[in-house]
Amino acid sequence: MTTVTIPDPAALDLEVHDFHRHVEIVDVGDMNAYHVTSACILPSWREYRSSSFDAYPSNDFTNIFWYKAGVQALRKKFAGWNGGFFVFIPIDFQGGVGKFKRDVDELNPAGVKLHPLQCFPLDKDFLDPYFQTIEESGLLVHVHTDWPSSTEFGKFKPVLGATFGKLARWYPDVIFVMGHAGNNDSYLNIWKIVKQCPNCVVETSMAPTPAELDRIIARVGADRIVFGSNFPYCNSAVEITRVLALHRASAEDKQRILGENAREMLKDRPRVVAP
Amino acid sequence: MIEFRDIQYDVFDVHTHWSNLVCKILKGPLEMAALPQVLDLVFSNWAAVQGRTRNRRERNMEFFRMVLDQFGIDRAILLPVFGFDVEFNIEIGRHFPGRVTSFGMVPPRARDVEHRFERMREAGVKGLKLHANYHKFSPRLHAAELSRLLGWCSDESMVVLFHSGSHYEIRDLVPLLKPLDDLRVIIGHSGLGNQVDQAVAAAKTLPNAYLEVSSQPYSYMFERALKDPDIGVERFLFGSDLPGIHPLVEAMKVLQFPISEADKRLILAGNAVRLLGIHIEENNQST
Repeated sequence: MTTVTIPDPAALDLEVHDFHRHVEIVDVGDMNAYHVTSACILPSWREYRSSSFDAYPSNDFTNIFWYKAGVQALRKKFAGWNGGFFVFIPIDFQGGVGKFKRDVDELNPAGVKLHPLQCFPLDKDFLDPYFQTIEESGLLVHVHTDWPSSTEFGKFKPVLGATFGKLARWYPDVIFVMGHAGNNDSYLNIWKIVKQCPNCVVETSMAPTPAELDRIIARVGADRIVFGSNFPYCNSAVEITRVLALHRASAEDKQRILGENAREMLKDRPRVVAP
Repeated sequence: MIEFRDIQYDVFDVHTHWSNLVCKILKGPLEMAALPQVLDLVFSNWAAVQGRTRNRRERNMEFFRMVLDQFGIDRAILLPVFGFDVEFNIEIGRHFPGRVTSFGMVPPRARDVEHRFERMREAGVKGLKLHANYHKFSPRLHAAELSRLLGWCSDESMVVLFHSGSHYEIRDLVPLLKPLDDLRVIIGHSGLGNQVDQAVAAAKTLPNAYLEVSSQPYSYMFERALKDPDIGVERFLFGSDLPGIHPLVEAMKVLQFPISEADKRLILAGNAVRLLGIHIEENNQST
């Protein structure tokens, strides 16, 4: 029997852009350890408390004041840092379109993040005014997937095509990032959505298996995948290892997924901290 | 065996699948269920393995051994998903007794549930895999049927591995498991993503419940559970869900836990050895 060696991402020569980090804890130690030189900072839903840190605030989707404070702290803490943070703001649907426009003006984000737990209606008439602002401001749209499927007996049905896919088809001029690559029970066949929607990019954090990412590479191309860690909820080394484990990707493809694709998407978008 | 940062670890994977469906004509559909590196290994070695085996079953058993080698898996629990895999899975366990432990499968609502369970008992399986979707049950709607089967498993000291995280709520399972003090339960996938809180809560409530790590991405919840005095490192098991999920990515989760090397060895192999009362043999060979 052979011994199989697992590469240590910390020991590799990588230059990583992390498309999915959260504002609560921007852990420079973790970023440096795994060669993360720039990152998108997204609002989060889950409360975070681990063995390494004490309690941190929860749910900055509904407490946008906290999210803004976090972004301001980030700006102050990392002024002069030779990297870059790109802010994705939550849409305050309660506050309406006017409030959203003011948030965009105030925070100068690179994009917005949508989460199914915000319970926004999948109604084009409702969403049109928000997406008008998104298009005018050139914002990217990062969507948490999946919309959790029913756990009722006999009522399970993967719904990603009818949720994320619908949004991407409604607004073809907006770039949508599929956060978590479909997530557990909706991950199979996401390559079809990626192929149908040229404005769709897949973000790798929490992807249950590299196999579906491999299918995207084989059928659509490696330029439609960006790396995300979902730190601090998930582990950066695990998430990078999933990309390194891709079978259909060349070394160049992996480097593009880990950084170059994102840098290309973000090159003209505002950074919170300019290098 | 796997190696990370110059340290070697035995690997006992408690969540693997294999099927006698593996054949050239189904190569396309198999892409839905298996990693491309697994399929490449199988189909690039097709002629060689065909040449040294006597029939389709032997050939596919040999492929399973090769796939375990491919990912450094020393020992595995083999779980059937579909009914037609059960006898084949049992046969693999007999073919590689030092390497593969076969679990059986009994749909709790099957008309001949008693007969099927008796067959599993006779076959000497160490446990059962239950999947709410494939086996068409709900812990809430079919509590009586499920409890009856779980009671039999408890009587026969069988381990039960539940798929978790989709199709039902783990919290609905807990009241059925609580009266069965002796029944050892593996919470497969630890709730996938969405039900991780329920999986950890179940492990806290049920002293014989084990958290299996495959496809559960929320490392921070695992870190909490590791520190929880009611759960701790001895209630974790390494599983990969091979061939659909990548074992080395899943192993990396364990290697990244903020615990000692000795504790990582427990999760990667030691806890499963203790749970099933079997050993990882050196120089495992086909029998």
